[in-house]
Amino acid sequence: MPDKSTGRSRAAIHSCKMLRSRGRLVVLSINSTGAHLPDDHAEIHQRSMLSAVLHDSHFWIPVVVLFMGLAVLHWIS
Amino acid sequence: MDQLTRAVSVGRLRQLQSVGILCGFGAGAWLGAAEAPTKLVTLGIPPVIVSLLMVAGVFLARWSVPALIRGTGQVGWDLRQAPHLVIWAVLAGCLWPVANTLTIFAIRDVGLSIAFPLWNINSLIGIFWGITLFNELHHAGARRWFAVLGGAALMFVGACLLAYASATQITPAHAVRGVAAALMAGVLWGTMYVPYRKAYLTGMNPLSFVAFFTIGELLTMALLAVAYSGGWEALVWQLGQSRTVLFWLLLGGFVWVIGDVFQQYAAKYVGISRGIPLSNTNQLWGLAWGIFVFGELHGRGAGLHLLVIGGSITMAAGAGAIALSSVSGQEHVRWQEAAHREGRRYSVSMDYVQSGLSGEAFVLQSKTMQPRRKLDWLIVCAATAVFVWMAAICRVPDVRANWTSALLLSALSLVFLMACGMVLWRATRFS
Repeated sequence: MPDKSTGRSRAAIHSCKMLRSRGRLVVLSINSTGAHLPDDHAEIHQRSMLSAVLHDSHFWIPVVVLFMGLAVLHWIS
Repeated sequence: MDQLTRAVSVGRLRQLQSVGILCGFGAGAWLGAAEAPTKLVTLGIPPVIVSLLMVAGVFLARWSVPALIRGTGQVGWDLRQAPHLVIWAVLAGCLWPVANTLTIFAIRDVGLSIAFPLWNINSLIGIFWGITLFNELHHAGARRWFAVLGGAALMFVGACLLAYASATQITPAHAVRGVAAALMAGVLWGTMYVPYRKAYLTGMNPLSFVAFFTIGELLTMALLAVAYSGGWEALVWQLGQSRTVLFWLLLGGFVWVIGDVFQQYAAKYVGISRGIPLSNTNQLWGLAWGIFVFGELHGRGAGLHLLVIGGSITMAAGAGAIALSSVSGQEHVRWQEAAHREGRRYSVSMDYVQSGLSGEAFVLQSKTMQPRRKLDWLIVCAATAVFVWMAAICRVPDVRANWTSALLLSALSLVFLMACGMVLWRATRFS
């Protein structure tokens, strides 16, 4: 959802905060659609995407089940 | 909320549900047929080799079928709209081969007609995830809840009957191992629908999603095959030893993909809580293949026949009750809320999300529509060449089978293919 005050996506802003915390300068003019971005912005978009996936609690459900399946496979084979 | 309600009209919602229900039944027919090649395990081929070759067939089909139907340009368009779904697709792809390998161990230990219904608990798992994660059955009314929960209870009873039948026919050690393998496969496949549902709520086309799914699938299966075969050299040697039956296993994978594609459309248009049980009618098709083609229960007592058939019919009745509890307008609004939540979380265009939900993504795509490219035809030709080559060196497996029954069941599956394909094209252009 675009932030009302800045018009930027939450994920993009989260990513910018992450980069600033590492002492990097980031130009805050992000197009949330990701089209025609300069390299730095593409990197931000990619990082924000990965961050959004990892912060999505749903993501860890299949991960845990996958390891359970591997454990059973190891047991029966 | 009002805006969401208006987004998909009542008539369109009914049409999409009809498409989803038909696709669910079509999926059952094709997924059931695809399990037949796993009978080759009885010829002494290691289970992981069977699984690897089926996945290879799946890989070929999952790139060639989308290229043939929509073109790879459309897959790229979907990728640009929701790139995060590549991660989800690969993760789902990692789950599939582990489950598939488990089913082969289960078939070896307790037989196809018994293992099949056990791993179909994936529908119960799917219902659970659908309700808890994606607002399915929210505001659905008491009747629909009763149909779904009653159906789930029936399926559980049917599974218990079949598990009991398995325990009376084989050694206890094998029964425990086989039942555990089948149940875990069900959990894996049921959970695999979490990424699927996430993708379809976000608007991605099933044909695009499965293309990326297959990358995780092939990599995981290759790793499993190397690990369980004792290294690359041993794996290559075993593949060489199995070359005369490679075609049948690749074909099994190909047939499975057709069923899976229909299953994806069912999950997209009627949700996972209804789509999975519908496609789990593959249990009846698997039973039909097992009994009529391979004579699985031949020579066993009448009591066992009654137990297996009764258990299967009970499970199928439960699945039917779940499937026939149609999605109400209010429930669909809750789906859309979940869809918009996903769109916001991953900064996906709301036009893309909404057009995907209403099965009208082709309207958006038509603005950037590209004709099929040389790459598409190259993929289709390469996949066809592999199948022709494998067919040329294959031989009919030395398995006692009733080929008349096999032809009849194959013809019925083709009827479903034609019907589902036509309805999908008319209603959604394979959106």
